[in-house]
Amino acid sequence: MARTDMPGAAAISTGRQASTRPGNKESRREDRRRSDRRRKRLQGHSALGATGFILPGYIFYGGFLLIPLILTLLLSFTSWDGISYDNIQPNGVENYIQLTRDPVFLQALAHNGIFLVTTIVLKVIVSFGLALAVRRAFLGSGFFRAVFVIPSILSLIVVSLLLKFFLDPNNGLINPALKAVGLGGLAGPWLSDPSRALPMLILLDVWLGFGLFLFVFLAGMSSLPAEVSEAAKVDGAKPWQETLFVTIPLLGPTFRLVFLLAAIESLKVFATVYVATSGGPNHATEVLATWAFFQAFTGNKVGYGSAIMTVLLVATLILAFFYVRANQKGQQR
Amino acid sequence: MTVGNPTTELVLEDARNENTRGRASAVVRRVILYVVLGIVSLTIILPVLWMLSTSLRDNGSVLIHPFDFSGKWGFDNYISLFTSGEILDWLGSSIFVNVVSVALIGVLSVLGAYGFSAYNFRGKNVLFVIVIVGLTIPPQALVIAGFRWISLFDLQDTYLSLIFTYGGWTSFGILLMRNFFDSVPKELREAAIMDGASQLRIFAQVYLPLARSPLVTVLIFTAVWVWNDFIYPLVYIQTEQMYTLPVGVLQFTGRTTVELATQMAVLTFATALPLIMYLIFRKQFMRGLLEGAVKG
Amino acid sequence: MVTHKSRQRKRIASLIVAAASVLALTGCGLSSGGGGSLSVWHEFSGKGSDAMNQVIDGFNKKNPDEKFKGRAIANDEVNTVIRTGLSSKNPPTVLQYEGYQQTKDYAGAGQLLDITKWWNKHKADFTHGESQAVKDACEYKGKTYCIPWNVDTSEQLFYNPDLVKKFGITLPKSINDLKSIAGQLKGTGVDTISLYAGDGWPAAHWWYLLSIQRCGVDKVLAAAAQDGAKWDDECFVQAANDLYDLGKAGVFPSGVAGQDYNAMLQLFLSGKTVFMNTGTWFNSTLEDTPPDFDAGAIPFPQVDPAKPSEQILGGFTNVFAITAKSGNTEAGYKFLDYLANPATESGLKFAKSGLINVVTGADAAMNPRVKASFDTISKALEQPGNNVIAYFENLVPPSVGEDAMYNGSAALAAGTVMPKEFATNLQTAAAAAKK
Repeated sequence: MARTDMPGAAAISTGRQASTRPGNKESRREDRRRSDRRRKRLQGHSALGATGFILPGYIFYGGFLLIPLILTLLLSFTSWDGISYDNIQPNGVENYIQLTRDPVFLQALAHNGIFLVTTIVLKVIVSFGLALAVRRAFLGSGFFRAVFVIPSILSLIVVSLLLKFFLDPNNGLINPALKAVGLGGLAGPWLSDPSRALPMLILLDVWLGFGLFLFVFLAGMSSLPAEVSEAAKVDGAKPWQETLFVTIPLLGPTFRLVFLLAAIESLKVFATVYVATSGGPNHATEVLATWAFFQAFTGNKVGYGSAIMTVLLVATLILAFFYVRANQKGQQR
Repeated sequence: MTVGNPTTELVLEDARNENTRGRASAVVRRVILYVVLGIVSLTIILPVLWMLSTSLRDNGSVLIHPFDFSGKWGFDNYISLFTSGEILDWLGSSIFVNVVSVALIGVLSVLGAYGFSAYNFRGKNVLFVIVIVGLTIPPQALVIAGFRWISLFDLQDTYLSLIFTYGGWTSFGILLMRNFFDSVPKELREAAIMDGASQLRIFAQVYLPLARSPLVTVLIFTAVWVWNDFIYPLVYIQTEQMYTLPVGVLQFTGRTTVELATQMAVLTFATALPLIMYLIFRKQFMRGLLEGAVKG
Repeated sequence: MVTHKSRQRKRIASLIVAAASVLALTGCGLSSGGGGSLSVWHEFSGKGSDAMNQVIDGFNKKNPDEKFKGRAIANDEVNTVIRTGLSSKNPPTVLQYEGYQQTKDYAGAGQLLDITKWWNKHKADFTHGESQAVKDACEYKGKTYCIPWNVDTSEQLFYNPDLVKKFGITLPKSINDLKSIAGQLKGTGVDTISLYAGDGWPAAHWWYLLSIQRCGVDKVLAAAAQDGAKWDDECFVQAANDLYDLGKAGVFPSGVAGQDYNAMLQLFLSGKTVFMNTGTWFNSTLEDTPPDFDAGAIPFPQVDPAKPSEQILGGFTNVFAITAKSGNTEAGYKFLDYLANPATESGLKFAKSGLINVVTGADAAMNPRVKASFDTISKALEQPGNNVIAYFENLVPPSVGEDAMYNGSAALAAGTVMPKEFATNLQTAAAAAKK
């Protein structure tokens, strides 16, 4: 479907005129050959052109992402205290063997997995559910939509610090508030309690991220053709049936995009854990990123920290692989 | 979905005069709706308001009663913040780094995405997959090696080290923009070729104008990620005046122990700029989000 | 034809040009702070930081050609910042850090200057300059790498006299007294002891204090060296048990395993707890943000008041060193000269801020509470043998100290780990680190 208000439209119309220019057969064949050659060139079989577009990005990408990535891999095979460059000592796969004997590493790995799965599920459910709720215009819908995006633009540091204040068991707001509404039984040590700390951090992550995803869903919903919804109504479908059997399937690509973005965000988790609990209490909220950070900067074991990071990278690569496969299957046109 | 009809406004059904079966159930549903939405909104508004109100009180009363309205109210905390000046330095750093980095990422992403979309060459798919790998890498994974690497060029403690590092964060933009460019109908290109346009002109006059919406999405997400990044400035920057806002705030709260009201002033300030920008540019922000998300 | 995109591209291009010219003009892009600029990095905050700034200003006035810049680093970020700073092209000229294990780490990595000659000339300027504690803090392989600056101890319990009066509490002399006070305070909404162990060390200090009483300094040193004693020996388990029992008796507030040091101070200063144990640096905090009561301090309770331990947990936890690779060692020496010279009153300024400074004569500026702690430490330092021991995490590698001791102590206070288990975990970590 071409839009006639696009600037390229002018090019289209003049183009058509050119190909219907009168003239003898010979000259027209010449023109066609010439334009064929030009088209081949312009259709991107020019290595020079491709380089011009791709190289600038690749210089930065290669120089400042790929090279540190390779360096991290290399560092994972060394032992280094991180204090002076003269002390880097290669030590083979010693660090990786050490990982298998490290209970905190295994805990952190589990926590990352829990984090990944729960934050994705919760983010999708919350943002999709709320999107359904605010997709129609009603009194106050604009206000809600505006408010829901706010957490996404707040600084993670600020939010984590505020969470610490609010959840303070003796000086905070949550426990007195719970007692005031009669839910005093739920009051407790929150971030100090090994069984509550990780769930709180998961909730924090969902709180931070649902707003932007809500809009992604809204956008997806608004581009669904109206006829489908009307057809469903004509068929007598109740709203929940329409959602389940019509809306959700049609929004397949949107769901895939949200899954991908949520996965990316959850693997990046570091700042919120670092500020709110530093991985505590006693490693109850330790994730690979915070454990690697501790080893590298406090533990004088940069090589070991790099090995932990490498494991995280490998895990994310595996997930990315599955995403690409799923996307290919889903995009069968 | 083709790029044919991106909506620029939410097509919302007007539910104000909804005619559902049974008045009572409609009212109940409406009430539940408001309660749920209200609670969620409260979890967002309450912390922000508390932060703001605490920043206007004095440290002594906040220490004893953090969650009421007691004490002396005034702008003292802000005055002392601005007279010591560092917070403005940090804000300036964050803005500078953010603007330049996001611009850089935008340019590199658009160029790179077009390159992948418009051209065919040997090894193209391999190169593209390598770019996608970048999406899966959490930034802090590379900070230790990254620091060693930039020190080789004497770039530690410089803004360039941050800008160049963020310049590598183009995977998201390239992916999104390439998908978009791929979905532009081929006829446009053919027509432009017929018209005798050079490759560069095709890019500049045909594809680029169309790309405004997905580009805005890329810029928005990237800007948020760069603004909030705290690990690279923490490790790469040593000079205090050059700290970005997240790092500065963290150091500040560590140093001011129990001066809670002052800390809240810092936090409010750190939050104010993005929040105000958001409130002012809400329409454009949302439009960009909506348009950008409707892609092939 | 000027189209929308080309206008957009022009806009982006001009933005980049503008940014680049800003960089060029301000010189920010290349090396900020100028290669080889003079700086002193420190961890002081509040009034202590003010004192540091006054000292720097004083030095700069005397040496206008060699001006130093001060950089305050928050305690939490110290590890990250110092490591990356030392190996950068702009390391600090002078560094304030915490001695002991850090001296071993940094000097061992060749990052500190050997100042043995300077120290031998100047040690008379420092009270207790000859003591074993200074050697422990600043020596590495027989050479001196730092100078002592402030000393502190954790052997006290700060208290809120208003609450003591309100609840008719008798000031505790023994650990068991604390448990009975907890019983007294039950249901009042006020807790006995302010302790939040999210940062680990506040709880670890309790275990250190108890271990010194139960085991003695020599045994601790032996266990730290894994030579002659082990961390799961009986007395250490006893100390762990003491801490565990205190937790079970309800002495600590709810949520003791989480929240940070600032929140812990908040509990005490806002009148929600009666007592708090922390180091003498807290006097400096009391100067910065005086609460609405006149805080007092009593000696840390004994497990057995009939046989009190004379040994103390503490030492020279603020030391200054010259870095080896800044290229400005001459200026570094000048700075140390300035610090050590009683005439510049550098030490006095710190003493006024509430810190226990050891430059000769600095005790004249100490307030009575601070002076009392100074006298306690002095007594212990002047006794023969090892009577002062630094915070244990400074004697062992991080996997033992910052990991096992910190996390384990927090768990003991919270009651989530048993004393025997704590000791076994600690010993396992120490044995693994020794290999």
